[in-house]
Parts: sequence; structure tokens; C-alpha cells
Amino acid sequence: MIKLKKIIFALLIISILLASGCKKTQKDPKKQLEELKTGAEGISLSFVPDFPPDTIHIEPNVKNFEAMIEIKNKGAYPAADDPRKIEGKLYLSGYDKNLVEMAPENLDLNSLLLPSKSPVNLQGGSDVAAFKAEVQNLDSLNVEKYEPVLMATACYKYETTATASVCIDPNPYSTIKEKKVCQVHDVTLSSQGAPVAVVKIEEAAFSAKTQFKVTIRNVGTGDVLKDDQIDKCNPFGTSRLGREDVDKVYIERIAVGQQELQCWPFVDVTDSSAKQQSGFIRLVNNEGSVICELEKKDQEGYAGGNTAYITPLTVRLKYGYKAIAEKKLQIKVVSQK
Amino acid sequence: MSKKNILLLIVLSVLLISCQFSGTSTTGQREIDTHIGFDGLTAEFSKDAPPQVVFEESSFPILLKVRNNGAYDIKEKKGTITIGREKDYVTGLVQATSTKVGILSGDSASFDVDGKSILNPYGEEILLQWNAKTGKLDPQSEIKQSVITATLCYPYQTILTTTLCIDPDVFGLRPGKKACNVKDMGFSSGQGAPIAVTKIEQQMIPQGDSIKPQFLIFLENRGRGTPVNILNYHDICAKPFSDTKNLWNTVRIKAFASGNKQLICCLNNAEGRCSESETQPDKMEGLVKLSDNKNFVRCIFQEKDAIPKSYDAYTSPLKVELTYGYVQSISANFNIHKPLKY
Repeated sequence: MIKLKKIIFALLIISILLASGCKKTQKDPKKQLEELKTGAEGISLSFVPDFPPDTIHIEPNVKNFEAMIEIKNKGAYPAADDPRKIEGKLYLSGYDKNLVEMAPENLDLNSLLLPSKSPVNLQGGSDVAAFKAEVQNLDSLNVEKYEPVLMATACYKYETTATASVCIDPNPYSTIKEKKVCQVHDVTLSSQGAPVAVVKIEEAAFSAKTQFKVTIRNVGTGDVLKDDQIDKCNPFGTSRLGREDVDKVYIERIAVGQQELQCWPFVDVTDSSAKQQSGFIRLVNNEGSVICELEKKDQEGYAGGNTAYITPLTVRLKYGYKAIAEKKLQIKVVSQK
Repeated sequence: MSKKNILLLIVLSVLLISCQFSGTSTTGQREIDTHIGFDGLTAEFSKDAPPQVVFEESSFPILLKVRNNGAYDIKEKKGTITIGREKDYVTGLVQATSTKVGILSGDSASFDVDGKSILNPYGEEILLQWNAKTGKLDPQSEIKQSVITATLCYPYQTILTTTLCIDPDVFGLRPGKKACNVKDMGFSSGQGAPIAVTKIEQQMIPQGDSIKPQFLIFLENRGRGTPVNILNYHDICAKPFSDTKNLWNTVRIKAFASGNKQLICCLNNAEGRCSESETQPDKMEGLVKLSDNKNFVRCIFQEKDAIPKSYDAYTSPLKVELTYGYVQSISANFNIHKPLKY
């Protein structure tokens, strides 16, 4: 009887170990759905392991190798109901064109399957881009080994949509003690499933208007570009990205409910203090802000009348983004001696 | 084994099998770098040849071991060795030949010796043998100390291959990460030759819509001998009393970037001037005169190989070839005794 008990006890321990010790941690699907609009990445790049291998041995009849880059859309753009595709290009650089020929020279991202994260695809789209490389004739290499750093660069257009609930108080200086449904307060956000995020909305209520200071930050690991300048990323192109092309985000729309706000200051305009609904803002040290105003109409007050109310504030940003992946490799010429 | 232990063993086995760390072991072949170190040839007399004591009017052996500790092969009997002796006391030398050693004259021999390779990572060693004959000592002398010298003159080559960074964004105005950054490169381990490239400073020189990369290549004689002009190295050993002025400390340099694009290295003509418009490969070679065993040379891209300013930074191979003759000497002392005759 004691023997049987011991065996049962041992089997129990084994079962527990098997069940808990090596169990894969699976996320709660509900939580994953909530996380669709979070994350600080848009398009991410990585070299497929062994494509190319760390060391490539070149012989007179073996001069080719393949570079494969895995591209993932880890963000929330384009939305599931948006028919648009990711617009942009993938380039390979860092090698000497006189020695290595790469085909194709670049690749259109819209030719790849890169849907955003969605309820049916919680991880987002993923595809592989292949480049075929050929080392030029061995005599021209003139060295036993060549150690280039392959740099894959994706320059693409992306969008961020951020929504937060804000409190609109038409009588912030009211002397009568009355219960309000909400109090004006600052809102802190983390990320919105995109490399550029709205991180803070500071609100100030005045008697005739409500003012919002919206802070935007590059939360990704790449560089922000003007969305119409992404073609300048071509490493062998004729025009280069300049300081005027980077760290600029286009504010397409900031609205409280259905009402679009007037904001300032914008760059690349003649009068930077002029209030307008859209324009570019500059990020300094990866962060930039814009101030927007919701004017109170004299007769009607705000949309919620003369009492405080909660309403969504929506921010839509458009920008170009540059993501990079690197791989150091060694091209070795096999000695023919 | 008790039942408790058996149970414990089962549990441990399950743990090991189910949660095993799958590490991969690599048993790759270790790479041998032959282009390392500061030696060319090393030579030494055998411990007992010449012997410490020899007698007058007798013969004795001289055995010299020459090893190529560098990475360059000396072929076609281009190495020369000359034995120096006091001709009154060592009156004759007869040399033994082998496949690697040839006779030039009684006191001089030519030789081949291969450098380090993957198949022979220690370099080849050859033996040179002479049979020497002593002369007669002065009547009043019982003992005479004499010396034998061996002077080696040989052609040698230093080859450095490295990867450089070509960045057309000279002033670093372009935003974003680059594939590489232009920086000075140091080479402290040598290249398997007595003359070493110790440092390369890179400079990108803007020129209109393109850039012409320029390199300052620093050389140093780290071996135990002296470099000589490659064209005349043989004369130092073969014609010991000829005029050797302007032959010493001279090194020729050729550099190639981006594969087989030869750079123009300066100074590159006998008048001590630099012509940056040379197109003939032999005239693009630089001529360096070492001072205190050091100097540097400037090598620049040809006009036609200039790189468009619009390109992104990229890496490219650089090959530097130094060609020179090298002269080094060793000596051995021995005593010539008069045999006792009583």
C-alpha cells in the first residue's frame, strides 16, 4: 500500500512538472484584442538567419548569395477597413557596388502582404523580401576577404490615430458649487500601435475656450521623415535626406467630437503662429507639441451645452518612417592554390 | 539503489528531457591568420657549427638555419646570403647545395624559403651548410678569436587587407544611421612581414559633386634588419663595397580600393614630387623613405574613381602592398687554437 502511494506521489510530481515547467505562456485573447492599438512599432525589419550566412565562401563558379529580410507590420495602420497598403520601399546598402551586384535594387513594400494587427491577425502581417547578390569577378575583388555591413532600410508612410476622452467644462471659474460629471485634467497616453505616438494631452479650460497641448513623440527606434520625402532614402539615388526632411510629423486632424480644432505653431509655413487645422510640426529630441483651441460659441456654448461633459479628442498623424536592420558579413575568396 | 533514489532519478530525468536546454556546439576549424607578426626571415648559426674552438689549418662546419616567419614566399632563388670572414684566418669556404640553395660564389649563396601558409603555419626552415678551412696562426700566437658573419639580403612584401568606410557625407550633415563611420584604423599586430602598416587615417576630400577618399598610411620597420630599395637589394650582399647611398630605407607602396581600383600614392616620382593625375599603374606606386624606421604615405583615389556625393556610406576593401628588399646580419665568434705539439 505504501509502495503504491509512493508511485502515485511520484507520478503526481512528474505530471505537475510536465504541466507547469515547460508550459508556454499564452496571452488572454481579450487582452490581445485590447492591445491591437498599442505598441511602438510600425514596420520592423530583420535579416532571416543564415540569409546571408555570416561567412560566404566565393569560388569561380559559386559567386551568388541571397539576402532575405523579414518584414513585419507590428502596428495598427492601415486599419482593417482601410483598403490602402503600406507605401514605401526597401533598400539594401552598405556594400561596394563595384564588387557586389544586388537584384532587385529596391523593393516596393506594397508588393508585400503587410496588413496591420487585427482581430483575425493579432500579430500583424509578415512577409519576406529576397535580394539576390552576385560578387563580381574574383580578380576584381583583389583581397582574400571583404567584410561589408549589409544595411536594410525601409522607408514608408505610416499613420497614427490616437483617441482620448477629455472633459469640456464651459464654466471653469463658476463660483456656485455644483456637481460636474467631469473635471478638466491632463491625459497621458503610451502608444497607439505606431512608431509615432501621442503621449500627452494637457488641457486648460478658459471662460471662452478650452486649450489642448498635444505632445507627440517618436517612440520607435527609427527616424521620422516628411511623408512626401521617403524617396530620398534611396542609398544610391541622386537626392539625399536633409535636416529639413526629418523629424517632421504632419498633423492631419485634431478634433473634439466632430469639431476640428485650430492649432499652432506649424513649421514650413510663412507665419508659424497662424492657426490652422493641419500642418507639419517639428520634433526636437524626438518630441514635439502643438497647441489647439476649442472656441466657445457665444450663444450656444459648447456641443454639450453649458454643463461639463466628456467627449473624445481624436488626433490623426501622417509621417514617413525609416527603419533599419544591419548584418555584418564576411565574403571570403576560396584560395585556388 | 533505494526506491527513494529511483524516484529522484525519474524526476530528474523528466526535468532534463522535458526542459532541456538545446545548446548547439560548434566544432569549426580554427582560422589561421598568416599575415600577423613582424618577422620576415630569422637566421641563426647552429650551436656547434661553427664550433667554439677550431684548430689552425683544419676544417670546420658552418651551419646556418634560416626560417621564414613571415607570410611572403621567397622564390626563384631571390634570397642571397653572404658569409663574411677574416680571410687570413678562414682561408676557404666550400658550400653544400640543395634544392632550395644555390651557389653564387664561394662566400655567397642563393636560396628559396616559403613563408607561413595554411598548410605550414610556422613557415619553412632551410639549412645552409659550408665547410670552412682555417689558415695558419701567427708564430707568436697560440689562440686567435675570429668572427663569421652572415648577411641576408632578400625581397619581401607586406600585404594588408582591411575594410574601409567610404562616406560621401563629409561633414556628417545627413540625418540617420550610417552603414559605417569613417575613423582611423590601427594595426598593432603586424602583417607577417618586417615592415608593417601601423595606422591608416581616412579622409574624404570633397570635389564638386563627388568625393575623393584619401588615406594616410603609416609604415614602420619593426624587424631586426634594414629595408633597401627592391631594385638593388641584391647588390648589398653581392657587391659589398659598391655605392649603396640612397638605397637604404626605401619602400615601394601600391594600394587598391574598391577591388582593383589602384590609388595614386605620393610621393611617386624620383624627384620627390607627387603627380595626382597619373594613370599608368607603375607610376601610381609610392616611394617611401623611412626616417627613424617610420614614415607615412598619402594615397588618393583617381579622378575617374571619385564617388558621387549623393551615395550613402558603404564599406569597401582596401589592399596595401609594400615591396622592399631587406638586409639583416648575424654573427658567431669562435677561437682558432694552435694544436699542442709536445
